[in-house]
Amino acid sequence: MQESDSNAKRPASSTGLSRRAVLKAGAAASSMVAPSLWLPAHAADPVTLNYLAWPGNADATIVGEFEKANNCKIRIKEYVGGDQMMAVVNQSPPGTFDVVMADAEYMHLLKAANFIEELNPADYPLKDLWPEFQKFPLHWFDGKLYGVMLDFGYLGISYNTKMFTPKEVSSYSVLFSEKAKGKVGFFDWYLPSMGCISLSNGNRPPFDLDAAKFDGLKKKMFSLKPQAAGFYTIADIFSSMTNGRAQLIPGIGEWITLGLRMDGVPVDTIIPDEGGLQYTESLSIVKGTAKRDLARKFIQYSLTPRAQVAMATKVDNRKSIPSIPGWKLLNETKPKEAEILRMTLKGPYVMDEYKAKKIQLRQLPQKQSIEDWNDAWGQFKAL
Amino acid sequence: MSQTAEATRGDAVRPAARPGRWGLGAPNYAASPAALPTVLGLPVLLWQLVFFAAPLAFLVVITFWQVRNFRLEPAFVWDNWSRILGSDTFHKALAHTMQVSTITTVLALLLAVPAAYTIAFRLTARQRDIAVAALVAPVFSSYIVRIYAWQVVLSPQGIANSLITAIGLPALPMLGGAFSLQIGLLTLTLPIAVLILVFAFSGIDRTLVEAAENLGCTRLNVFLHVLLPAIRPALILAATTTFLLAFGDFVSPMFMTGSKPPTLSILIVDTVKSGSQWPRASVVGVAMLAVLVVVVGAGRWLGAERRPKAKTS
Amino acid sequence: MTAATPALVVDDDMAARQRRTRLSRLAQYGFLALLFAFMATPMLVVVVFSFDANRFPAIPWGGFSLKWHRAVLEDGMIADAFLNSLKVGFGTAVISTVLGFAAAYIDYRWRFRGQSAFVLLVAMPPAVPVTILGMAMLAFLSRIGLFGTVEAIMACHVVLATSFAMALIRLRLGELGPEVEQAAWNLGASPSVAVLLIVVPFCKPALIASFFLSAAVSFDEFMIAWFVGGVHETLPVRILNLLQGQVNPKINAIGTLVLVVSITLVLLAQRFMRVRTGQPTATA
Repeated sequence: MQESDSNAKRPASSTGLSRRAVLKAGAAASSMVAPSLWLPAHAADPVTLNYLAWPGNADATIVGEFEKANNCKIRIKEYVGGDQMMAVVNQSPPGTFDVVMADAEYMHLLKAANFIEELNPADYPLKDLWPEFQKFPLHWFDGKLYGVMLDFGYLGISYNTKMFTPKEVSSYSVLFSEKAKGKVGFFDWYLPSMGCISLSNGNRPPFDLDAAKFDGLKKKMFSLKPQAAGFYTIADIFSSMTNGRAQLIPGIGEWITLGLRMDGVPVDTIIPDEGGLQYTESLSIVKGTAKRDLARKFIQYSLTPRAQVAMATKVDNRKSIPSIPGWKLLNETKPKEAEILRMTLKGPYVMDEYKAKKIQLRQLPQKQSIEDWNDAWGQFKAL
Repeated sequence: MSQTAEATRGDAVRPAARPGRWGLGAPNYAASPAALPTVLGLPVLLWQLVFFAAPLAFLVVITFWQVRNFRLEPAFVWDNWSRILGSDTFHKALAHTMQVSTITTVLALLLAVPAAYTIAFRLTARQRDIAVAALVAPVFSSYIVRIYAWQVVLSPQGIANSLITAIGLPALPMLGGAFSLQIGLLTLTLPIAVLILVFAFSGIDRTLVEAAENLGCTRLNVFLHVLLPAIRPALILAATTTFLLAFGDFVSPMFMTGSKPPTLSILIVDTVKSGSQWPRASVVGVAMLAVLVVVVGAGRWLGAERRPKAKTS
Repeated sequence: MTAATPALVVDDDMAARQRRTRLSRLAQYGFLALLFAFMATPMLVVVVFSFDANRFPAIPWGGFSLKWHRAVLEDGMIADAFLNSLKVGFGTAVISTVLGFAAAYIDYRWRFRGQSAFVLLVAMPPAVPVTILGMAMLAFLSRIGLFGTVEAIMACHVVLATSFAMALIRLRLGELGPEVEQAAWNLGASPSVAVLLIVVPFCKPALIASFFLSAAVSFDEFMIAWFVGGVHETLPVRILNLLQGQVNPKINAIGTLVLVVSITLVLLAQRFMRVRTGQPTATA
């Protein structure tokens, strides 16, 4: 029949189908309307500064002033542990981030991945920092500056003051004691945890080990398994020290315990005799950013005394700051806090340990690959 | 995919073509057998292929690739397989995960069957609706937050221990071990298991039950010899679903026991987070899938309908 | 209730049996109550402690306070995450319902080679552990350059949700006898028109239920969204990151919010699909 032939030639989308097709298209369109990060023609009003950093660093108390002054918004992508940072870095196309806060020991990896830009030392108030930090070795490559120190802190043993006296925890050996059985928590990141255990084995520097010493470190670490309470995320570290699940945690410091203590939880941190680690957080400008000026301003802002004080008095993670004018402002405006933070200008203060050479910089493993250390950590967890 | 659509139900009657009765154009039967199913089926098919089948296939492919400097590079090496399959960590995680999932499955069934029975047979219709709603609601309400809430209940100074010490008993260490882990996994799996069994029990023909009772069965015997066999497929489904969920979970082991020891999913997340070792993580993933296929296959074989040999009485 | 056995028993026996029945009933109800208490406990704790003035949820109770709820409402990242969750959830619901209907109808209406493979392809995703699924999707999508967008999350959620949608709609279609569509064809409708005007309205309860269920599935899904979303976080991802990265007293407040939304979605879905007992019926 003539008609059915012509019908056969008609395309499948007869009017009966068009409604569904329109529905589908509409649904797809409406869901595609979501602004995507990959759209270069981003309506920059306000401008967004993309910040790759540890959690909590884009709080209003820290960056609010900067956002208002520059009519911008800081959008943070959080990572926990430098390895996670490297993973994000290597997965994201250029232009995804503008500023990065990195642990200083990862800077050379960032540079090798061609992720960060050279900085002009004249742009930043490096002379305001404590003399020990003015030419921080991890920030300079071939005489060029790539990162600026934002804050630092010490890592030793955090302990429950009701269960352990300071004398008991003056050595890492307390971790192996009978009293600590099943009560030793761990921050689930190999770097600080294994670093402290390495220190307990007498290794100085703790990350530069030959094969024999590395084996010794692994043995010592594995022997800790009966003592372990668990491997915690940051949030769980807070809650396990609060609810008593863990009474000793090596490899963390006042960035955990200070906030808890101020909230009434009986905890403290000590740098044992064998020594402690220093972590350092630094800011760098990411290569390929379209907002270089704004990024530079952000780093400059972060080193102003007001921003440094905000960083030092952050509600949950309190840090030590390297800027001397920052210390001065802290003592003027928040003397009580300055005392608690041990950043007073007279009396025992944070730089003491540093000067007494009890502190080793936290570094990446020098003679083994990150993978080796990570695998050892994985083995430890699975024991 | 060659899809020869033979319209079995509708094509028996092929009316003569007339002007469209609903004014939507003349019916084009000559075109429809191929057109409609294709138009309906193609988007679904493509979507599943692109976003499900392809990624999984790619996962297998990645297991042969390498990572250099945190970057994934195509290669063909057996290194990842030998490393993971030979690693102690993997074996321990596999054993632990299997053990834990099996316990959860058994517990879940033991708890779900009586509960489902009660809901299906002992509640009024209205109560049953409420019960089902109360079961469905938790399934989609932020599993992570609920696990975190269990910490508050089970911790050494938490709610449960406060009650226990209030009546003079010493505080129990509930958090951090197998007990809290099972509580977490049951939180995840129990509602679904109960739901499956409720639907199954609800679908049983009541006349069968009446017949059995008329023939003198006690209620217990009715339960054991009539109801349970009748819902056997559902039992198998509930068991495999529970096992699947528990096997692949990483939230409960992480927050209830502090990853002590880690399960396979935690292994995957760890491997990915540190050094983005995608190939190794993929090996773990493919191995997990293989184990699951075996377990689910065994389950279906167990649950397959078997012709009864002889009907007695 | 069940038919009683012929009354050839002595009174004592009957009384004993009745006592036993009452006891066993009590036990059954008690057990059920315990079970529901078990499932409700974490949700109650979340809601109750979201009003705790303490920073860290602990005993003793620190006093009633709305500050965490206020903090949640003021938190930009949470607001963004919530918005993303809504976008992803809505998109997922629409697309999965459409695709789920298509798959269910194909399975119902035709018999063809590869049918079970097709159905398996649609039904399988929830059976794959989300960690593996998320990792696979991330690896694949980043290879083809689609990673890190809200659309990518949505596309992956659709894969999961379509399975549920198909199952729900297929159930409903099972109650539609073939003669209804045949009648329509006899009256001159083309198959596609019959689908639109007959089958779709018939499936309306299942379609609506699928919509809300897909939205709920997407709203609570955190693993795939964590892998695939990149810089864009949905609300569950935000929660996961909060739990991994810092203590946060806002968690319980967020949790309360999520509970309310999820429960609402699920109840809405449930309203349209009820549990029928006894004989499964064959007609609408």
